[in-house]
Amino acid sequence: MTRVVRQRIWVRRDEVLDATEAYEGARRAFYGYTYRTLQSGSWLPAIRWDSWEGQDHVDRYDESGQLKDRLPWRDRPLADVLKLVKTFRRNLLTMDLSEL
Amino acid sequence: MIMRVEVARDLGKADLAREVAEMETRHGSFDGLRQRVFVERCADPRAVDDYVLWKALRDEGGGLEDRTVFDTPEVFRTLTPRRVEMLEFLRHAEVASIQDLAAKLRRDYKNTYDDLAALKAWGLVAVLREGKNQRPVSHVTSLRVSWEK
Repeated sequence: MTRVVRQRIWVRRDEVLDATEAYEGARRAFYGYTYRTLQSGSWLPAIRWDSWEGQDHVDRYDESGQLKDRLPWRDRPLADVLKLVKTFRRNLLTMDLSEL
Repeated sequence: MIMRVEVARDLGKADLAREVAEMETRHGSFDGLRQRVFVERCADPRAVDDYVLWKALRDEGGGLEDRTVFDTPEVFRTLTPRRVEMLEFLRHAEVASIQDLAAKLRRDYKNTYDDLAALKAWGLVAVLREGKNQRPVSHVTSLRVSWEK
């Protein structure tokens, strides 16, 4: 039995962190945290932290929402990712995310 | 201290069915989506999140909790007394159209439309297109303001 918790966290009017977490009992079986920015009426992904297929990684996207690069990442809770997003915001796009 | 507004929504069977219908529109079939995210090693965040949700909803006992958090004081400019009243009204009543909502709130159409647009920009209401009508709906069941360190 899987329970999905979906959250949209508004950081600013044109910036959100979309979180999807799947729980099996108390265990977080999957997480996907996507930092999106509003561009020309569309919410485009800028950075995505997730554990798809059990591999923690962080993806970066270009201005058109296409995947640019993928780096390994160590699992962190949503609160930590939100703190990163709120602290660095769009500067995250040029930072070494695997080291944060 | 950070002011935070948290909005919770109760999702009934009809809401979950609508979620599935929307995923069918976006991706076709569940099997097609599974193929996309596994075989093509899809890097589309929406597809992966939809797959995780769709799979959970297909499983017996699977469920969805939906929350919206405003971690910015900007939202308080939108939450005027009239708009909060509108949210409260939509929580308890169904309306057929924006015109119908305006009539029931005894307000003019333009102000009602503008207030809906402001709430929609923050995801607090949705406006569903049904034939010629645009039907406003809100699933906001609670709105809590707190301060956090």
